[in-house]
Amino acid sequence: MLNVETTQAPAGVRHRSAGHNLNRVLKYTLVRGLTLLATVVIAVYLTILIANGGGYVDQMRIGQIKEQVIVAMGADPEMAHLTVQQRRELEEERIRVRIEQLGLDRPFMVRSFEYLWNGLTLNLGSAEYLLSDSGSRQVRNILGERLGATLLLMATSQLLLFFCAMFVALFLSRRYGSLLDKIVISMAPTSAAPGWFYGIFLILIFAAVLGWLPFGGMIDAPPPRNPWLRALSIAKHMILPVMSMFISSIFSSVYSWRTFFLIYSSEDYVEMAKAKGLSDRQIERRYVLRPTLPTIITSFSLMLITLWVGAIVLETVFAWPGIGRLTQQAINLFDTPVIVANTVIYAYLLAVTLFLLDIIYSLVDPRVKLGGGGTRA
Amino acid sequence: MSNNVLLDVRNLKLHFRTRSGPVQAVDGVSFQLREGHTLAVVGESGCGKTSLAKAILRLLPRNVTTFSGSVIFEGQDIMKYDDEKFRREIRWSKIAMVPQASMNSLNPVIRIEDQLMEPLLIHENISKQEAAQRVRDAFAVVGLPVDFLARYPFELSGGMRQRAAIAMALASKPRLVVLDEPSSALDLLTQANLMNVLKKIKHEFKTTFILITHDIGTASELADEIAVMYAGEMIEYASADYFYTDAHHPYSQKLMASVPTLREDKDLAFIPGQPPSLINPPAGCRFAQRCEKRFEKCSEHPRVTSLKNGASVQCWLFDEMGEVKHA
Repeated sequence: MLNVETTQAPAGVRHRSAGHNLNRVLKYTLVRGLTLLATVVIAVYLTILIANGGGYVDQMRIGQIKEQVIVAMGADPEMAHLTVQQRRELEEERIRVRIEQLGLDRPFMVRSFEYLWNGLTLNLGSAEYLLSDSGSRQVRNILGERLGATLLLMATSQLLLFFCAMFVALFLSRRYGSLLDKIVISMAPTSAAPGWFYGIFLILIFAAVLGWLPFGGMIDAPPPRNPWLRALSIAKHMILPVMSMFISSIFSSVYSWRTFFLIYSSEDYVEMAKAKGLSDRQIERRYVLRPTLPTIITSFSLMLITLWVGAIVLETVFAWPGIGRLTQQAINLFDTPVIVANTVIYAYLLAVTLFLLDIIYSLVDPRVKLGGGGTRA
Repeated sequence: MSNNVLLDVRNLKLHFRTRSGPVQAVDGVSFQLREGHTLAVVGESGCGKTSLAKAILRLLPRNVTTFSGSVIFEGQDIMKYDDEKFRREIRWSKIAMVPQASMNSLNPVIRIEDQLMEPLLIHENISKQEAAQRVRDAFAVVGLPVDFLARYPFELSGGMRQRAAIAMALASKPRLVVLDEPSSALDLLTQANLMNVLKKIKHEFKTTFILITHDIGTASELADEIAVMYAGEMIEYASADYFYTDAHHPYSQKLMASVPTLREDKDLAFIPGQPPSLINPPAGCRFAQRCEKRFEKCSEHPRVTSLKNGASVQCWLFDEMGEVKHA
């Protein structure tokens, strides 16, 4: 960073610019950090408003509490020898206590800010309906249990996809117009269908007809005790979901990266590099990949964040115990704390990634300057 | 200046395939260039000048259909070299180029110094220090401050970048430098400046140049020989001493008449019509349609005639002895 900064300073002031630069970098980092924090706050607050239906979910919950209390009292034989008046009072008393317990007596707007604070401080609280597999109500535990499964599945397929697509695209951009190139391009529309669509067919072929691979889930039941066999069992369960995600994205990814590389390899400086007698490999590395590194890094890091969200339908089709399926369950049950917790984590990740991206950009691309100077391209 | 022939191009052809048909961008071009001389290739836009430059350096687009003829450089037919040998032995170490729009010829994310040193480190077995010194020398020759070497291309103005591109071509001390419209995107003052730099290099280092330009006035500053291209063919090749006063081909004469001059008071002429498309060009003389002196014979393809003053011209107006038949 500092290195980049000095190149911009005129020769005469270079010697006194180091302290000045550090100041600017700090100031920039602070401003950028605050902006991103504000973004996270707004995103989380919007999620809280939406997940609570702008406060309407409170009405539903109060209704639910009333019903629960009345049903519970109706089923209680003790209640039989109370007068109607007494019962009504007791009913109201219990409903009031329950509502106060949950804090539903205070205005939603006030509570929404408490939720916001809890969310931002990662005090994720407890779920209303969902339980973790170990029986915990803590959102932290519920998410933690599912996260590993999602990360394993998504990271495997997305990393595989990313690097395969890049490699094949570079290869095809060199063989632009060849038969192989034409075949891959004509396959691009296969990405119109989502991964789970291919998943259904893959299950049909490999699980139902051939019986080679399991229908779904993450591990054999009962799970093998030997750690190697465990890993093998998980790997076996991963093949089909990974394959379906791979098939549904590979051709369009290759297509777009290939076009991207083609555009950048027709730049004047690439032809010049050829005239200079550089080998194809050197041209590819220094004159095609190097100038496009910022774009590649962006796409890679945004891909990394999507690993967290999970694929809702795909996980459901393959009965994969991940975050995607959890989100779907939470939405069905109006389990606000789980939905909000999911969003909070995602928003934080996105903000941190963007923040790091800004800094990485200025390191890999000399045209990007940190701070007020802006670009001078 | 020695009289050794450095570059001998014979019947060079470069055809492309396009959607509307094959383009004959360079169609049977032959010429010889002596060491230390500068050849200016002039002609209208789209007449195949740049394609000629690219054909010599074998920088071919993907849609090439025909690439034939021979290019004899230092006595070797470099057309017979395979790509790897051509890359190692010819590109930049023997023949360098300054491309059209050379201000875009620098990689935006690599320091200028590293880009200039790159070909030296690849082709010559020298240390980084030596390479850096050579690059500094080249920078001094083109008149750029040496501390600009540590900068990135976007930190330089267009004219500076163009000069940096020339420095890049000179640093490897090539035998031949192909300059493809090196000054076309610059203002007049910068152009004049650049021409002076090139003249200085020509005289100090005896470098051989091929200068491709549509600006005949600029070409006169540097050229020893002039080649006129029209529709993919080289229709006249003459010593600059004669060409400017006594061009032979009707097209060259028209071209000269269209150049404004300071000392004479003349009406500028223009050539009616458009150059023919390089897709299916006419079978006979390609200039015939626009030529005032055309006659029956012009429907056949003209042969190249050598004239007494060493010039050669591709026109039926000249008989086998080089005498004007129809005036």
